[in-house]
Amino acid sequence: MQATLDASALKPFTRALACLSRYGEDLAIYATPDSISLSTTNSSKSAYSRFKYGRQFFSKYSVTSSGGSHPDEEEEVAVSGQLLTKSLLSILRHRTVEKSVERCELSIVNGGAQDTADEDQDGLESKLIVRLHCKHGVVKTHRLLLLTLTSFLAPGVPDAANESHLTVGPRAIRDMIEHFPVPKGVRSDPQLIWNFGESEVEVKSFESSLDSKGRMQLSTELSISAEEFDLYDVYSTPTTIAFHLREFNATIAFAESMSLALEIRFTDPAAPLFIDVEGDNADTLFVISTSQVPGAPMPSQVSTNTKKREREETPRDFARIKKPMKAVQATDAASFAQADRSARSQSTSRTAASMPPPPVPDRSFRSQHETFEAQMTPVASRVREPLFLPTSSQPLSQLSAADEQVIRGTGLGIEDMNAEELAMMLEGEGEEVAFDTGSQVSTRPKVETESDADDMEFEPTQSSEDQARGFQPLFED
Amino acid sequence: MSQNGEESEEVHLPPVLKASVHDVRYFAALLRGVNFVNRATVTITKTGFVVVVEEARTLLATAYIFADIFDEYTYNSESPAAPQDSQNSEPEEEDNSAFEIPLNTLIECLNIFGTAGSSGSAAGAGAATGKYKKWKRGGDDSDQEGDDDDAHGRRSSNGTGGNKSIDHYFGNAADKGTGMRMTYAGSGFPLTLLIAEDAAGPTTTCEITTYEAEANLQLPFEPDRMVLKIILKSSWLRDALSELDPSCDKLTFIGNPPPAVINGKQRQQPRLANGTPMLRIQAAGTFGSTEMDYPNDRDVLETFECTRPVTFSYRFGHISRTLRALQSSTKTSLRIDDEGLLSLQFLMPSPKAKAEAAADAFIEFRCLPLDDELV
Repeated sequence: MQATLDASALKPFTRALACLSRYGEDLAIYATPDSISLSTTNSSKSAYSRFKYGRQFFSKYSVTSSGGSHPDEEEEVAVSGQLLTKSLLSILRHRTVEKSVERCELSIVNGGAQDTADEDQDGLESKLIVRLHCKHGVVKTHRLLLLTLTSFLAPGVPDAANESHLTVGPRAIRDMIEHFPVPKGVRSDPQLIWNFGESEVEVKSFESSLDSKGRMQLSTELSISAEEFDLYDVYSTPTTIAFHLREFNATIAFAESMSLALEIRFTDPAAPLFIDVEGDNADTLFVISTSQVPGAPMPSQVSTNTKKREREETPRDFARIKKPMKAVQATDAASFAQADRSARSQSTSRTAASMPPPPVPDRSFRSQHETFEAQMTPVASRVREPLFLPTSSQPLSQLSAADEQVIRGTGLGIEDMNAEELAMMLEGEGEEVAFDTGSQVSTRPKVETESDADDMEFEPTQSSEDQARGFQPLFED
Repeated sequence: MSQNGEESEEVHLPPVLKASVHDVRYFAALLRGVNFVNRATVTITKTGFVVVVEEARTLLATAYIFADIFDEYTYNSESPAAPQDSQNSEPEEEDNSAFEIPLNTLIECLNIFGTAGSSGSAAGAGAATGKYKKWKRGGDDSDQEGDDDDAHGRRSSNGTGGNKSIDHYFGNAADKGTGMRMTYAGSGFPLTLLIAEDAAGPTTTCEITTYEAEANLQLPFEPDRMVLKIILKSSWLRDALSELDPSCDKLTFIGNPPPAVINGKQRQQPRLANGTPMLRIQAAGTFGSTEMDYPNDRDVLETFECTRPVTFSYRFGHISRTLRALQSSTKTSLRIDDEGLLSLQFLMPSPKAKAEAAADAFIEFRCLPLDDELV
């Protein structure tokens, strides 16, 4: 791998490294012919950061086959390695670099692939060579040992269905956060609780972020108008999440230094928060684990369905407070490359799968949102099965036996009806019946339950109760 | 200490050394340049004094402080034969006084008002301007308010004609410099410092115990055995050393004779072609290695003389001892002899030098090479 940075590209690159170094110690490098991605994960795997630079970012960029060193690799040429972020950063961030460096060459030399690949020539070690061409023809060459990428960590692809989207400028968000003191010296990492309401965002310090001696006795609470956000689209209000500040601050500092806006996406408490910072030739993704706030108002809707997402299949009945999800999961590089390639073939970035739906201008009405979601269902249909009245032929088989008995007892004969028949039947007398089209019938309960997707503290059997409530007008007749 | 006894002594015999300076910063900067081992040997001569520090019998640092950086400098030989005026100096005079002193204590005493410059931003022209500002602010904070007028008056009365250049070097903070008078009565007596910020302010008297000097390591550098001589701006070397990873343990200087100079263009070709640079500084550490190549460019290397290919390694810990002196120096002369003895001389720009053409003080480091380097 060979990449050349000119002086103007070196600065954002160094800033990216500085940001990465605040996320985690180890820097994973993964270079494909089209892009190079630098990523890091913190030690508790609760935060992940990835910078991906397209080849246009570099004045020269090439990835050549590493020869016979990896014969088992697919035809895709990829170079990877891992090193301490600090050792690279300390070279590039040195104060003399900014003044004097005219060109920076990064190259990765694979162990076996050196021209003189003799084993006794120390050729087994892969190296990242940083060559700085300074003014007056001074050349500084730093050779950093490159380790084999041991565990490849990648963030889970977020579920786009119930995502909330926020876009905010770095200054605005820093103005919010700077009210919350970060104790210096100790490796304390305060958490903030964010409560996203209809028109206001409440931010307050998390009680447990007091240090062990209880010194930080200051509890701060801040209310901000949602108008501070350039885009404010919270899927279900109020949503309350909490996350740590350390990595978030690093992200803000980076966004501010690059004057780029932050696009924040999140779903549920305890599911990770995604932040995209889009710049020229660079695609930046940050993932930060969030935690559920004990005692926070839960979204009021009650879950009725059992099948949402694969990752919820683990039973969670015993724990009300869920463990925060890790920001990353271990994957193998090959699958990453696979995803990378497939994403590229779609001429989009890898995050395409997790891309938010195109923002809709100011969806203030829930119903608009719902119809929008309904239009989006082809994308999400795989995940979200219709809750009831799913097909034209299916009877009301989802009701419990007892309920079915009751329905049969009414003598209305609706037990064998399908959705359309029921809707037709309801149509005539529906003063207080809220739904009149099939599509709304199917979307409404889904919307109500979606926001609470991960909180399956209720037994599935209650769904019958819920449905019974849905049929209440029918029985009152 | 009994002041009376001392004064009676002084009446009998003039002190060996009497020196005073209205601003100790330059003096302190010179001392700081060699302040890596606490015990220093100070040799007083008619023309100034020499501070020698050694480490591990390998590294020898010498600060040459000439008499003319002081406003007043009087040396009276301890040997009774030659009590004479200091002004007519005889070069052959070997009649010196030497003592050992805890260098750190001396520097701390000089900085007792916090105005002799902090160790991080030693006074000197080589450092970046930003440092002065920081340092000046620090000085302002520690000073009392409202004595500007006094300080101005004092400075103009002291007027040495070099005020402009002092201002240039010290960013107008020179008003608040610390004045010092130093006396050394002779062997067995303490070094007495009288330090005052300004006439109206408090005065401090420090007495620092001196010890009998012991013989120092001798590392003579013979010019005719020199194989490599480089003169370069200190900033180049400073940047190079500061960029190296602190985990490095070995530093290697590689010099190659410049190719025959036919015209300016051809000079650089061989370096690029076969990778033998004129000067290469190489270091290896835990996380990798670093090489820095310098071309024979007048802007980089003012002088480059190399008779044969040279490769010598030194302990990085020793070489990095020079950083403090490097930071305040402007030019560096790097010489290596055929056995690898390294001599680094740092020119320390004197704030007075510009106006009075006085000799700049300099600090010299000599370091023995690592033995295992048998190239």
